[in-house]
Amino acid sequence: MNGKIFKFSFLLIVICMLIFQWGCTEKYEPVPSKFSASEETSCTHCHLNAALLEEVADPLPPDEGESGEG
Amino acid sequence: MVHVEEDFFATSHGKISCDACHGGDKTAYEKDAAHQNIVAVPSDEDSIYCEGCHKELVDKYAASLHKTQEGYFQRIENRLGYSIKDNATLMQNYNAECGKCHVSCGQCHVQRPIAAKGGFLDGHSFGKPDRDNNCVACHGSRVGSEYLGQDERYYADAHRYKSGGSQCTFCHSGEEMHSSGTEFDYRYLDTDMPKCEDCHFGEDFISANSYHQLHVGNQYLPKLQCQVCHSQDYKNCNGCHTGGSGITGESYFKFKIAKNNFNLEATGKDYDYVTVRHIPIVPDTYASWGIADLPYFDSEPTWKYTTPHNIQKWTARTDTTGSEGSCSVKCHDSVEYYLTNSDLEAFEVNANKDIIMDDKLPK
Repeated sequence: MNGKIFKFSFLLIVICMLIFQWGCTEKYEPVPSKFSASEETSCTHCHLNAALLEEVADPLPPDEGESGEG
Repeated sequence: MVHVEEDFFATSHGKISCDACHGGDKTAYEKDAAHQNIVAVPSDEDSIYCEGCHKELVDKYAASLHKTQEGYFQRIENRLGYSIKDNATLMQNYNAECGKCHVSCGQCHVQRPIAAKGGFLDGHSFGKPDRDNNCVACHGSRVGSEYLGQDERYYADAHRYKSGGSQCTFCHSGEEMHSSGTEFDYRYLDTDMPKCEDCHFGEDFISANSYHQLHVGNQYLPKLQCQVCHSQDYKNCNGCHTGGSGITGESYFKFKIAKNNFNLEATGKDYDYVTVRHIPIVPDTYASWGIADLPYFDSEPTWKYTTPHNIQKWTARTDTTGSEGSCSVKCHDSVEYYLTNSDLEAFEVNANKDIIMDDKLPK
């Protein structure tokens, strides 16, 4: 009986993990990374993801008109 | 937004850990925390971030006017009577306005210059500067539009259509841009600058026509800068003001020849007559910085030596066909092309007294 409960719990945990992972990746497609897990940092996590950057980027400053050097 | 393309990581710079150049906290996944102590443009401190691999270039570039802006500083000092470098408040104002136009390595090789709103050229990959996104992004209002033929009624520069001529690097080499390491406080003193004579020289060139023989190759007659005959009208600007107003006067197209009293002999620009372009300096240019007037405004001309980038073989000067085409009407009997007092506002008469042509039209 305990063995059945253990197997059922384990299966439930695996299913939950899959569902949560699906939920997360629905919003932000995972970047097809060339990095191994040890190389990936928060820098590459964000700056390779255009959709995420677009969401969090600061707006551009207003146009200051004509400028430049000759 | 700073979107990096994956291809960047296949390049040599892509092998360097992000935080080695940009700082920040690579373990933090929240924006503000990750950006703590971030170095957005590492090459602004090239002696720290670039010199390890590019020492020779970094050492030389320290003298480049693109980096030092010494031309700006010296002109301001000449007209003001003292250097603004020792005045923290003035430097703060300078850095907030004129100072934004300096460029470091990355602003030519990685991104558009920040003064031109930035943005990666190729997903953070390093490469050669791009004509439109780098050179013309800053130098577009005059020489860029001239060279590319973007000014209504005027032709593009003839060199644009030569093989390789569509890029600024056709004339302006990497050596010139990186500097030879010699410091200058005026761009036309830079001996690395290209000259027409680098390509157009020798007996064949002089003997090609009688005009070259008279105006370039005769030691007993005045020598003309090539542009005096071969450039079209070019844009002149008026009324630059700090404090956010920028250019407040109207720009206009004019062609003006003046005496060459610009002290350029050491660079081989030993012409007697040269083209001059109006610069937008006015006595109250820096009023918003607390400088109501420039005590030594007259120390520098307001029409400056210029090299218009709209060269044509046949121009209003060189086309001597037709009823109005004789040399005497165009250049030797008429003041139309020459800088005279009538071209000057009252406040700039003294500043240009050494270059105007009122007292002597070439015969």
